[in-house]
Amino acid sequence: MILNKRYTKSSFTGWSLLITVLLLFAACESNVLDMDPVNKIPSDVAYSTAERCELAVVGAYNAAQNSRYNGDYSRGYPFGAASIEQSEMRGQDMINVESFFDITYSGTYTAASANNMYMWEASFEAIARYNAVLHGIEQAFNNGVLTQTVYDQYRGELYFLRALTYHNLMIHFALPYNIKGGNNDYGLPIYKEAITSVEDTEAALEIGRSTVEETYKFILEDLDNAEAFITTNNTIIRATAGAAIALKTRVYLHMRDWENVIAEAKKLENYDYALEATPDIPFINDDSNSESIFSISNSTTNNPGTNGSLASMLSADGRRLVMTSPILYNSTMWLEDDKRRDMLKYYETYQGYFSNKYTDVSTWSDNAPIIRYAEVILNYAEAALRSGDASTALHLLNQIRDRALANPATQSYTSADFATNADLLNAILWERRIEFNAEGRRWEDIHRLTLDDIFPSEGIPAKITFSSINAKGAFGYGLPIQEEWLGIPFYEYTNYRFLWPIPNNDLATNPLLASQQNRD
Amino acid sequence: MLNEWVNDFRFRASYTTIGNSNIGYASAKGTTNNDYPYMDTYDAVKYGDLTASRWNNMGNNNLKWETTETFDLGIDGSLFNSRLNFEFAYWQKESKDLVMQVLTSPALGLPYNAYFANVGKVKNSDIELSLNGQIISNKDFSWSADLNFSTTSNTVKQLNNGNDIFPDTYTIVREGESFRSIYGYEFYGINQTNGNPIWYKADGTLVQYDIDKAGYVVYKEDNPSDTSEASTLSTSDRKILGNSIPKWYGGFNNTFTYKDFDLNLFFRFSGGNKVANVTRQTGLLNMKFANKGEEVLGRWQSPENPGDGSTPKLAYNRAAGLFNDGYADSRYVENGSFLKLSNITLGYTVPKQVLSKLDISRIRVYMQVQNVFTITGYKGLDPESRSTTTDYGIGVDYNSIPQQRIFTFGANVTF
Repeated sequence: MILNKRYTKSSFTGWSLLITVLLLFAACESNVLDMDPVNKIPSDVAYSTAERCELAVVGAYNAAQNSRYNGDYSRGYPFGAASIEQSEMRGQDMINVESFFDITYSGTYTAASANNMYMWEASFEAIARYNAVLHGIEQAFNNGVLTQTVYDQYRGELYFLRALTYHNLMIHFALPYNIKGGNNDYGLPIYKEAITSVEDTEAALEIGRSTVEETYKFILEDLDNAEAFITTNNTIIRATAGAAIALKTRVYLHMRDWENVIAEAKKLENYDYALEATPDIPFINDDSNSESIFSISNSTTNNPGTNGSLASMLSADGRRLVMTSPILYNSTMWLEDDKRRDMLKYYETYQGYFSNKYTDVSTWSDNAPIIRYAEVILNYAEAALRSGDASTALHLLNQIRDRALANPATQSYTSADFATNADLLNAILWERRIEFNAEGRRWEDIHRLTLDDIFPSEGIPAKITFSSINAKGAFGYGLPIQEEWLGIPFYEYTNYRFLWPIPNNDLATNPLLASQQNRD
Repeated sequence: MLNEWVNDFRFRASYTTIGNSNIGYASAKGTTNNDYPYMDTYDAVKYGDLTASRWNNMGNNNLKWETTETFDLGIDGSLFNSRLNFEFAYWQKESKDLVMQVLTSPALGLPYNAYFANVGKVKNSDIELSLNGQIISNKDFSWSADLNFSTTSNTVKQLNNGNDIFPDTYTIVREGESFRSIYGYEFYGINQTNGNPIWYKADGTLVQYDIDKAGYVVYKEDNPSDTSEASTLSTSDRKILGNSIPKWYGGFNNTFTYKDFDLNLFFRFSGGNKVANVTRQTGLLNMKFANKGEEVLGRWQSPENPGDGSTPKLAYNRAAGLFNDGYADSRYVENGSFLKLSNITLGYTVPKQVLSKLDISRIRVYMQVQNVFTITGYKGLDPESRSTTTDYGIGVDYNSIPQQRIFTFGANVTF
């Protein structure tokens, strides 16, 4: 009836309206959801142009400079400052003043203590970031965004960083190259591939520790590739072929492969590196000098901050947390008028000396020196001596020493000063301690010389405690080191302290590495 | 017969599946709130003076939306001439494919050592009871009230590989337990001979923190002064100390009218949960040369003066050993039950005779107080307060800002 007719008419209008509206929605559905993030760069965009690839590669240096310390990007782990500070604190030539580095200095670390834990974690984060950039630029190259030369240049730089990071881990977490059988020959787990998916994480958990020998082989492989691929040079804050060669002299020295140390050092003679006229110039002009080969760049706007920066930790005008030790200062091997003594600063309250190599205590822009030409020369000298060539060794040693002497004409070493080759080796090893004071070479030398045939270090040296010499006038050329100052005893290399343990977070989440923990 | 007092009676049941479009994730300490957990992303950094980009999240292409399946069964109705309405329901909610962080081995070096995956399943079952009615309804005076009461049971059903997740150092997400239960050390007592604090280890034995040795030694009940045998207290000795999600909660809302006055009283109550009072443990009991809470007056001073039995002998800079600073300790995990008078509103509506002279149809003036008082055994400022940072979530009160008492005066004017 009337009711039905009305119903039919309105139902037709209703349905057609509904269908029209639905069609409209279907048409614009694809434009409704904006998938692009507003505050992040998706990874495919991060490598979509050559300029962006450059940013990612520079980001790899940021990884080397400043990876996470306890969740925060601060303190310069691994190489912004920490590698230098930790290496000195494991040695005896610098003293820990407050509680800051006490755990490293006294050897009371555990799998849960901060500095050693985050050196491991930050280093592996850096390695994962290098691998991520390697993966990204490889895809960019395959997509034609990068040319072969540019791709090779970037690859070379990343291989250098990776080798450097692995070698720094080796000196803390593995036994020296020539000690076979101790600690199951454990080196480090070698991560070559980027992790891009959940499946990759599962595959990476299957990677266990390679042997010391295999790890060194991997490090050399990366450095050889770096040397071959890098073509642009003339910079200190990015990797160069020269840096790869220089680092090889250090790595071969740790492997006690004297022949190759000499071969690599000779290659550098064709490069433009040269010792500066005085020893302080590489630190005053840290961004540009003829002697620095590779340093990590720190600046006013990007640096390890007050809790990590070299000037903050080491300088007499900073927080004064790391001081020179009388063990080094009082040595008669370091002549009283040597110019390098001017690179120390006296602090009256403690009656002691602090390093003055890093002076920017307000904005912490000092670069972290990783390797300089002086080290290559001393590496060469030592390798030459151990191969029997004492005259070359003496000549090279004098190159370093003479520029620091007040009066080279009378004070320079001659072959008459050394009755045996062992005496000359002693002079070279002392020269390293004097020349590289506060640069993080100390633990490297203690570690590689543990079971040396001529001057074995045999373990962690005894160290002076700050409280025993505070304001006691302990510093003075030739002053003997008192027994009672050595509050921290010598530990044999067989002691568990010699190796830093794999940290807790990995023990909990990586069963394979947990089963390969360093010996007790 | 029934018809005399039952006016309305219904059964209901429903089943739904819904998604969750909110995937911004406030995750554990040190990480950032990630709005794009599925995407591999970079952010901007510097290297010295140069600009650079840095990998900051590993993407997961398999990530999908969370779903929640809800099922409910209930009866509602009204009785006594619609003066009493009731609703009684049983809900069951299962949230699946929860987007959560999976922590990875730091040797793999992933950003923040984690990635996001659909790893969880959480089940909630609730019983809800709601009553409202006109209790008194006279010419001058009326009182209507609303009571609702719910119980919740929350269980984590499934996690990635059954691995526990630690959203922070005080809580745990573990299969079979309530989400984000409080996880910490169980305290036993103070060693009366030397003031050392004692806890249970995972195997039930007792361990004390020896202040002189700055380390852990075995506690022997038959020889308390013996501190010769070394022991350890590690993070694996922790146990579940309670759940942080309330087991019951509800509200009681009352509206009274008397002539032209109206009064509203709203009570809220909640309980069955525990809160880790970290403000008390870390802030007030700090072992620095700084101000402290009054609780330190109850410290152990000598065998003759043993204090309150939970505060040990004090030692500078030893908060980690004495108070388990940084981790939950059962001494500082308190009952979070409370009863709050959440709202009092007193209003007066101006009589129509007065208004008729003006061109206004209604004026009501009122005074309102919110958060009037709280009855609770919780020693902190507010058992409901939440941490203001994303570092800590439910169950942890660390310098949280409590709710404020607010006084409002106002008028509603209708022209």
